[in-house]
Amino acid sequence: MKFGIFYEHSVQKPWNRQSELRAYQQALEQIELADELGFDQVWEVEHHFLEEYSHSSAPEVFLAAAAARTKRIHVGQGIAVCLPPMNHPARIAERAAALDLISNGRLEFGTGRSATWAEVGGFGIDPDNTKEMWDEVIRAIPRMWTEEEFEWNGKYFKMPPRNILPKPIQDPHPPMWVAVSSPETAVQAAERGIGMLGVTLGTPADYKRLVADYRRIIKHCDPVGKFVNNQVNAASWLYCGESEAEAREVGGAAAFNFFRTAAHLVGLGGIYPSNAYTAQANATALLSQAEIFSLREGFPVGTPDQIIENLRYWDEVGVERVCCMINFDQQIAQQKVLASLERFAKYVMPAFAEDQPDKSRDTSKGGPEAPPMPA
Amino acid sequence: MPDQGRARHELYKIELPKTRPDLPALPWTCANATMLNVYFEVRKDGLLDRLPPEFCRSSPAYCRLVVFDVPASPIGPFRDAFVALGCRLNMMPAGFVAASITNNAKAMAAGAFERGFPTVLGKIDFAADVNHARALIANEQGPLLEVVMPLLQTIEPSRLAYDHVDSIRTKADGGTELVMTKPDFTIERAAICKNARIEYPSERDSTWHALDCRNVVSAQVAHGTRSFAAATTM
Repeated sequence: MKFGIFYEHSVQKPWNRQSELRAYQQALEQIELADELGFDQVWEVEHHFLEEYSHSSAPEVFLAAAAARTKRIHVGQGIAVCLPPMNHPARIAERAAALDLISNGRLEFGTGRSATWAEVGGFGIDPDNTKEMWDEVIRAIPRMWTEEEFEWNGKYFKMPPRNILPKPIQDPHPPMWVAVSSPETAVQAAERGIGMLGVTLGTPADYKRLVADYRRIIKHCDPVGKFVNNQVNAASWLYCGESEAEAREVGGAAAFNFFRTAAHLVGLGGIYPSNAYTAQANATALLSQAEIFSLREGFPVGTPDQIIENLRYWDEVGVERVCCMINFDQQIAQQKVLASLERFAKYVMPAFAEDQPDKSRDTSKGGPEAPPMPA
Repeated sequence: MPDQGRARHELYKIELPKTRPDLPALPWTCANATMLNVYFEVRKDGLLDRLPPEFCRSSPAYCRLVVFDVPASPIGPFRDAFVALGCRLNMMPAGFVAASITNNAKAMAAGAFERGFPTVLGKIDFAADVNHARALIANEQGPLLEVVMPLLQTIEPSRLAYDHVDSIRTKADGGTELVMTKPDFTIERAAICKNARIEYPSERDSTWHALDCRNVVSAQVAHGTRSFAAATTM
């Protein structure tokens, strides 16, 4: 199992001119340490207009700084929003390729389409079309990376022949992922032969069905890229404490505040009836305060021994990678965050250190020669 | 920290009539009712000024406008409308009723005594068919707003689901209490409108105008059976 960290760049009110600066600078310091300690990936979201929850609208810029300060850790766009009215597909491909060059081939390319009204409505995008837009864009980008004369005449964007530059250093291109928070998207990831990037901060129980469906279907995928990425990357919350009590008090409280902030975002499913988003009354998937503080089964918050036990559940579900949030804004003091990472690396990582083959370019379970999905 | 509401409960306290009006017992089952529902974005200050401190605003700030046409009920035909502030209570989705109008005195009394809706008497012009819908809401000073929904598209009713709304009810002893009214509509036919608009015929000093529409999110028309129920204490 591999481990990573990920960032929303949450910034709580009250703000001042230093608030966002501190969030960015502290994150960079954490990533430098994570790289030295052997963490495998750092992921950075792309969100727009989500005050307090996420001040991270330019992940490529932040990840370029992270790449410049590190040597081994993979840098993941988690995600690039693949909606042409928000990001022209050629600009997505260009920026990602530049990041792959700057990081010397360490880019993990996550894709997605946004799930909040603030973002989709803010750019004047019809929510009914976002899934189709994403699907069109993820089929175009691998071709932009690999063709000298790319041309496109799609439903949501058109381009005359152009050479999209630069090209990524990874051959044929960086591993592709999609943010998954629903059973439908897990299936769509598998059908398209791209990695499942879980974005629900959950537990193994939350992921069990998604992973099972993904594993079953990807064996028969019709990949959108030049190879199949059949990995599952789950998201959770990490705090490796000095004691159980300290972990609950420090890590649990920060996790709760993150969920509380998330609960105030307006999900599309609540106020925009659409086939493109799960129909629901205004029901944001929430964890109760009691659930957070009791630290649900599988949450890697606790002592090293407790975390090892919790991560075993993830292993059993079939997750190869777990990437975790490690702070909410600066609620946990920087020294405590760094100490948590160090304890995790020293006491937890060795328990999962057995060598595993890199499956990011696996063609044995599908690939260009694999049979297409039935219509 | 999410922004808390800053309205005092007194803002929603009403002068209850000395004697409780003689009303048929709630819930009232109202067949063939039609509802217009519009979610729309508003400026956050207008919302926070009317939101009690138990609630926090969502991001972005939005409201829900609901207009009902009830052709038959135990009190006869009536129409009513309310605007609810999109918000969260203990992290869970909620909608707080900030203003309400009806054209029927008994419905107004039921709103005040049983539901805690800050209802006033007014006039509601209403028209809806399979292609379009509109409603003009007015109080005794004149028109407040008009919702216009052209080019309706029929959809499967199961695609629609609505949350409960919250309100502050004035008690007989003069105190106030937070109450909740469950979604009270069984939808039999439904349509969406992708180019709905809310128009304000004139500048007015009213809650409806303070929560003026900055951007329509979505709009729906639903037809079915309404259960006009009493609120429950939270």
